[in-house]
Amino acid sequence: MELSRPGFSVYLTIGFPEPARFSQILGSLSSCVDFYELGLPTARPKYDGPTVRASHRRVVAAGLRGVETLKLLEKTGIDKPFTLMAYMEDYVDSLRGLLEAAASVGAGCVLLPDLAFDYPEMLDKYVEESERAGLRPCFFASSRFPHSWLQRYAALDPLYIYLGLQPATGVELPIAVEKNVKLARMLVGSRYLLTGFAIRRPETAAALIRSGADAVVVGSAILRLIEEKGVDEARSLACSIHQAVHSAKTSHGEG
Amino acid sequence: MVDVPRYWYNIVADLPVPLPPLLDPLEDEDSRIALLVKILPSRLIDEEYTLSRLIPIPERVREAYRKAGRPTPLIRAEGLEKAIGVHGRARIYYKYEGVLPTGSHKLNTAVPQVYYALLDGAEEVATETGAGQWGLAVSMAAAMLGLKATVFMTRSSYEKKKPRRIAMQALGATVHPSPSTVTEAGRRALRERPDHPGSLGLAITEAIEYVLENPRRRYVAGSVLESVVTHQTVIGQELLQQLPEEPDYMIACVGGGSNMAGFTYPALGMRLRGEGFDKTQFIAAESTAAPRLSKGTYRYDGLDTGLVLPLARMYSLGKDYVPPPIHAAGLRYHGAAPSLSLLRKLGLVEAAAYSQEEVFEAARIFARAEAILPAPESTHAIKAAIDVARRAEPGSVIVFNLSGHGLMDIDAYEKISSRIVDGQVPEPANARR
Repeated sequence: MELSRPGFSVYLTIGFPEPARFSQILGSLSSCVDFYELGLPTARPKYDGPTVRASHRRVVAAGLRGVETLKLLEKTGIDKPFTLMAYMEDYVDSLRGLLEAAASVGAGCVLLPDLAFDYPEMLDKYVEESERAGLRPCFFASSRFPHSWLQRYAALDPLYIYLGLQPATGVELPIAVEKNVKLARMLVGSRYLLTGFAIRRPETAAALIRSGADAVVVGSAILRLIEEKGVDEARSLACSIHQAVHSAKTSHGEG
Repeated sequence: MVDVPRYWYNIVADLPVPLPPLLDPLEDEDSRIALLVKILPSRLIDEEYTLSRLIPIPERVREAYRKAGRPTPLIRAEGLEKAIGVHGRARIYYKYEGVLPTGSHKLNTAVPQVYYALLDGAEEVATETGAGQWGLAVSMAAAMLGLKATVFMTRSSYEKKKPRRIAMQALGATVHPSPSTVTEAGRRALRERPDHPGSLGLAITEAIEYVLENPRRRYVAGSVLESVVTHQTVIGQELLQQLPEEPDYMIACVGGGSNMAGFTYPALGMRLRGEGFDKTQFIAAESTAAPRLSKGTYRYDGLDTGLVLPLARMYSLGKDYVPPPIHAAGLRYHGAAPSLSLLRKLGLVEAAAYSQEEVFEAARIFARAEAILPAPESTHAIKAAIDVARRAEPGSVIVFNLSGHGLMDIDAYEKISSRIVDGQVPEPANARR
């Protein structure tokens, strides 16, 4: 799987807000999305912000959890590339099974946001098992992260390196995110740099692309709109950000 | 010629493994991380979440550093070497932060934080303090920059550390004993335990509650936050310019960790980047009254007792730990800075805990040998340095941070000295979890 540059992705928790609507939402957003990031519902979305946490709670309360929810994707027939997000904590003893299941439904990679922080010693195993399952690895980095780890990520030929711009999903603090993107770009060279967390405006997305990001992903803002105003409003936001991303003049001269 | 550094050093960029992020409790509907924007100065938040290894020091802050007396001196402790019988066998140096006008290293972060609050349009800053060193630094920085300061001082220190309280008030600060009747957190603590001696964790909760009442207020943090730790690296960066030889041991005392981190991180960073300090042992000296790095556990825990702030992964004795009153009140915090905790977990930093009795004996030796009365907190580093020097290989070099003078701790010296003469200095007791 290769991802377009520039690219725009939407994050959705699989099964949110409920299984039947989830499939409709995927279809509805599809024309304004280059690829999806889909979260496996978990009872412990520990590093996520309040909106994404609530989405997990809702799906788990409905009885859906983990790898089992991939059956929903098989039924849905998703027409865009997608990657999965899961917490390593849930799969420490079943990593191979997770990655094989991800590969079987056509995911590009499985992003484990707690891998670097809580299981740094398992990084190589994750890479090895991803490759064994026919996937490429993808990695999460935060806005305070060792430079050597970003360079290590880059050397492992990932599908993407996801830079979390803010301390948690959907939480916006006064952080010079564009400066961090520029520095991350210098450290990861030409590797695919995906940026996310608290992006909710087209102009922010465009600025990130101009700063050196290859793509942006929006999660909390879309989930909130789906919940509060319906899928049409969510689609409208997704389309406006998609357009802004694709109109932005990148530092590589693309877009 | 040693100059005031142009940058602060952010060790997070060089850590061997990623630093676990601050965390919202899973069950929360809202985000405590999101609340930081209402509490902290904006620019401090930006410095907390930066990928940059070096952070430029604003020129106005550098000017204030110069006016305050930076660079501080590095002094060879030949008197101490002779007094403990290691002269000619070990060389001891100390970086003396006590020459700064508040008598401690705390001004290094008080000035930028108050400056950042000013940039946000704040009219008042609030904070907590244990021994009073931090509260005094904030009071002075606020006076320098024209802001009002409010300080929640742990009740035991409020009652015992009168000189610093009076100095804060003279500089225009309002000082409340914590638990206080000013905040709901304080009133609740007093209802549960009317003789509550206070703890830094509770005082933090009070200061934050006070800040949240008014958008023109900002909280300034004395330690633990990475941005605060980073500000203190002016100490270690000056030290790198001053050191005549690479040390075998670098030692500092630990409360929240900013003193230890500020003193050692620039050298530790060189070690992590493979640029030197390979043989140096980094030793954190703490109090047996709050031995978080020696006996705490590495886990996610509250930064403050009231859980207003997010959780941090750190060595902790538990957010509800109430240490016994000791004269080194600045070392009574229940946790240690996340980066320092991670370095301890990785074995790059060692820890040793000392009792009140033995550190005051070390202070007595040091005062007579070097003609400087050390702050009770700093005496922990002196004690560690003496121990290390006595057992070190011939030719060893030891450097410690004398983070403050004890001229405002005369009451402590009076009480503890008489007890040492009597040979009856009991260990602090009655810690509560």
